[in-house]
Amino acid sequence: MDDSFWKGLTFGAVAGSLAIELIRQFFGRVMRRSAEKGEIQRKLIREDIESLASKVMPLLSLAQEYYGKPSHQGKELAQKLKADLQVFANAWNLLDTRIVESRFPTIGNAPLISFRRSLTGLLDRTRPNALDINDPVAVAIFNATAKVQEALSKAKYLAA
Amino acid sequence: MTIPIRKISIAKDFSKVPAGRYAEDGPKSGQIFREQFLAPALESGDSVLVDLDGTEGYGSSFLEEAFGGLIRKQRFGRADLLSRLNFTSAADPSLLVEINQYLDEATAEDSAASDSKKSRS
Repeated sequence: MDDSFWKGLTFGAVAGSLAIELIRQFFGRVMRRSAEKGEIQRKLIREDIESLASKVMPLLSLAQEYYGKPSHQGKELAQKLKADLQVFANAWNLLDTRIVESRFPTIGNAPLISFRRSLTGLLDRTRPNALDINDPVAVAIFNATAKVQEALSKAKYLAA
Repeated sequence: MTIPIRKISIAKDFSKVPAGRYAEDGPKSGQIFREQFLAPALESGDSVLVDLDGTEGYGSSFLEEAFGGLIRKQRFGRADLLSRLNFTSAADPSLLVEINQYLDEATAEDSAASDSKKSRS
């Protein structure tokens, strides 16, 4: 075999291993970028979940303030509670859509609906006195609040 | 033959601040909405599309009385409502689930009441 055959073979081997190295580096970069992107996405979702969770206690406080006095003294509070709950529900739905798009398990809207139903159960009904702490409506409010917080904590854990 | 669709926007046609269950709770209650808007539209035989967007929020008592009351008080059947009554809310789709819960609960309540009536007679 002549010299040019060996030169060609050597060149081919060098070019081949160079190409393999370039492909390896390229895919390595793509994988790293994808992992970084995934981590940023998870971090943003966790932050959004935290932000939504931080609105739960103010809603509970508002409900406690409303139910803590006779209904005729709380008309503005009742309206604010409904409006704030609407904003909360809207944020919940948007967040859940993003969670599902990011391939995490849905939070679902059952905890949200129970929360809204319990908080607004006696809204706008004439009530001459403050609601008793042991009233079933008050108990339902606390239970539903705990469930909403639990659902958001679980979603945050799953997005970690 | 297609059934005409009547659209009702709660915010535009009724009130931006719907509130209360019964008429004595105020003029923008669920009972008044049901009796003056929802039931007449359904009684005309049309399909009804209720737009829930644009208000400043809902209390569950308004929603329950307006929609659950169609079964409990106005004697509409669940199957009829399923085929002719639709809702829309771009802002909060969970409201649609909640209303369907009220319709299901009213249906269950209604059939439990008629079962106990039958067993008494």
